Amino acid sequence: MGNNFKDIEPRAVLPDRIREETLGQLETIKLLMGMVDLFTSKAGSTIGASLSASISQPSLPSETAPNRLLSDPEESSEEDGNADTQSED
Amino acid sequence: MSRPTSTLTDDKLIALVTTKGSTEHFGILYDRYANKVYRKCLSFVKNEEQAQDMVQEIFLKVFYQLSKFKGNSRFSTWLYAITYNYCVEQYRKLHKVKKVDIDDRLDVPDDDDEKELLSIRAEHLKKALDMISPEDKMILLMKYQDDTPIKEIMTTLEISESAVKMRLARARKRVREIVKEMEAIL
Repeated sequence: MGNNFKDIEPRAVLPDRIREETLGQLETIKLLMGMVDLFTSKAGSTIGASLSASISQPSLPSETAPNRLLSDPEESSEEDGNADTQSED
Repeated sequence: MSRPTSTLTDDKLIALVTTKGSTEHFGILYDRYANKVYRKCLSFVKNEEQAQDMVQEIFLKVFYQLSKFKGNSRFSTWLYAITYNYCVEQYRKLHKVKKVDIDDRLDVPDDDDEKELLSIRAEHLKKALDMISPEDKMILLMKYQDDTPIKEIMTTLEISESAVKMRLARARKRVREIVKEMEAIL
């Protein structure tokens, strides 16, 4: 039994550049998704770790500004005031 | 540049793509099916450039949905179902046709004749397929151009066996009616 549905199928052939473009787009998307993953998992966990560390140990001094983190803001203003007084003396 | 060829089955290639994200293996699947997908797109949109854009969209979609392929049908059936659905969607956008809910509860037409449909002259068949709804065209192409078994059409379209048969019968009837009108004019 004949089947004319087979005969009416177009015979066109895709240009090669479509293959390159499609697979190229896939590579680009994969790269971007990899970067997003890297940022959200690695950088996210690093930031998260830093934040949780600073929350659990709020008064730990940092290497760059040891006195600033150890001191209370109110105390530090008093110290500043004292310093001013001392300098006036 | 030579392209990678492989004797691996579709299922093995799919496993490599989904586990390793290998675009090289995906390229082999592309080489196997891209022209078929392109021809299906062309039969709906009649414009080479647009059909080429559609092929790209479809394969990007397929790459990211590949993990959802469960192997309940052949990969080609699943791929063509994605293709047809996308073609129907694009056809609707292009022709500004609204989606109509299909009622599968109607009875099978009495005068349904598959042999008569398959013997319709190619040029008339082609014209008639362009005049029926894209959904009717899709199911006829799945059945008679791709030789997709009813069970696979059921799985991919997620409808019952009786619904598939009903839609096929109704689409066949519509085509025959249009062809009769054409022949009456000539």
